[in-house]
Amino acid sequence: MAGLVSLTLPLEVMIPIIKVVGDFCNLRCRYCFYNTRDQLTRTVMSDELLEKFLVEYMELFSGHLSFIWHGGEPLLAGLPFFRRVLELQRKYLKEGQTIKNVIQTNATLVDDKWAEFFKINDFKVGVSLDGDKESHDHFRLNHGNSGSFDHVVRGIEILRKHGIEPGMIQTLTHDNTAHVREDFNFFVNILGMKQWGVNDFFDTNAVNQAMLGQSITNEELTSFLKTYIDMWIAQDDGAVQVREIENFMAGILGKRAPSCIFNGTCSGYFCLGHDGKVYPCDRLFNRAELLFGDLSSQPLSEILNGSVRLKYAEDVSTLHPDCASCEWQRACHNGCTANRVGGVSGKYYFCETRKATFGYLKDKLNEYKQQEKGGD
Amino acid sequence: MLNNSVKEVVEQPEHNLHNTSRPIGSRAIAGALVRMSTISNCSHEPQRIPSPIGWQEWRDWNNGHADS
Repeated sequence: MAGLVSLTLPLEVMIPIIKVVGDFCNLRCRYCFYNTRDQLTRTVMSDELLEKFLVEYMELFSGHLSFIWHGGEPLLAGLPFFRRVLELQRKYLKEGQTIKNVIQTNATLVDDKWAEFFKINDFKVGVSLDGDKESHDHFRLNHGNSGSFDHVVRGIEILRKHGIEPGMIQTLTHDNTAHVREDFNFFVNILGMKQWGVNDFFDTNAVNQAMLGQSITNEELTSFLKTYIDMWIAQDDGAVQVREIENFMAGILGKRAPSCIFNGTCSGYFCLGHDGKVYPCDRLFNRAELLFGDLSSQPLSEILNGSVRLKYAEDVSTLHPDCASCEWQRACHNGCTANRVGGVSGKYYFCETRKATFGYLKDKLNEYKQQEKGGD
Repeated sequence: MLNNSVKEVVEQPEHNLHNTSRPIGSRAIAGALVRMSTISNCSHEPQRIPSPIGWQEWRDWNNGHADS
């Protein structure tokens, strides 16, 4: 039980990822976790469950509270749902608590009313965009099989019109690895992005038959990351941040990496479904063996103190035996639990990519150092 | 992880951030190093989640969770 933290003791705040509409989405992206599920049935978290969650969560944790509103497509819950969220957050706010709301959207439904709502209420907005039109429309389709790129860009423009600069998540698939340079160029030089993150598509259990052959390999991901590092250096803009490069950089410098998939904080999150089911993460949603509990019938404290969650926390904090001899152990923490081979306690699939990329970027930093010495 | 001699150089990168006379890549790396300089040295603490300050350091939209 080493490293296990019981929630009955004072604990740092856990961050909830709330799937307010379950799998319900106006898109049907080919690589989506939920592509094989029913994404058309309207499912929205009930007011009763929403209030139960907020009451119990805000009673259980203090300090800075952060809510990640996720989907499916969370905007399908509608503006009244999120107005109610704010009403309840204000109602149950305790002294010393502050709140931050983050929403991850496909942006296709963003209009002036949504953008105004986000701006006024200080929502932080993340948008899913895979690159230029060719890359994006290859996988991010609507239910009629049409690409969503134009709608997403329109949504981004509306957000910007209201003074909101969204963050961006790019998903990388086998096919899109052939389009790396075009996508980097699009993000930086056409869309004018300064910050974005990259998620790699890896269907651990091959549940999505439509995406067989699209999970990226270590070789592809390593090549992609090296190309991005090279392009980032060539762009030479001190304000451009690619989340993955930042994570590798932090590890090399012995700093804390910003992302959960590097810094080993998986057990600091939990994912609440619209029906009350609680899992570790949206990436591990519907894995029966990782069901923490059901908020519709259990108190949140009981769920988060339950044996499944505590076992998960233990597995997350126990590194794979191969990590013991790795110089990057503390910078990597055995990667994302959803991409560990054989289960949460298994070895991170992209271990070789991590080692190669840490080494590659470290060499770049050493070159930088040599340049500086030469320039003195 | 990083050579000690490299640490000496990367600890004060601000002067390269807008210096166009430096070699290609200097400003990109200097920018990252400046951002890193405000992050705590706690990579060995696997159970902790980012502080609110940490969230702000890596753009407001991100909470350290890879899918947000």
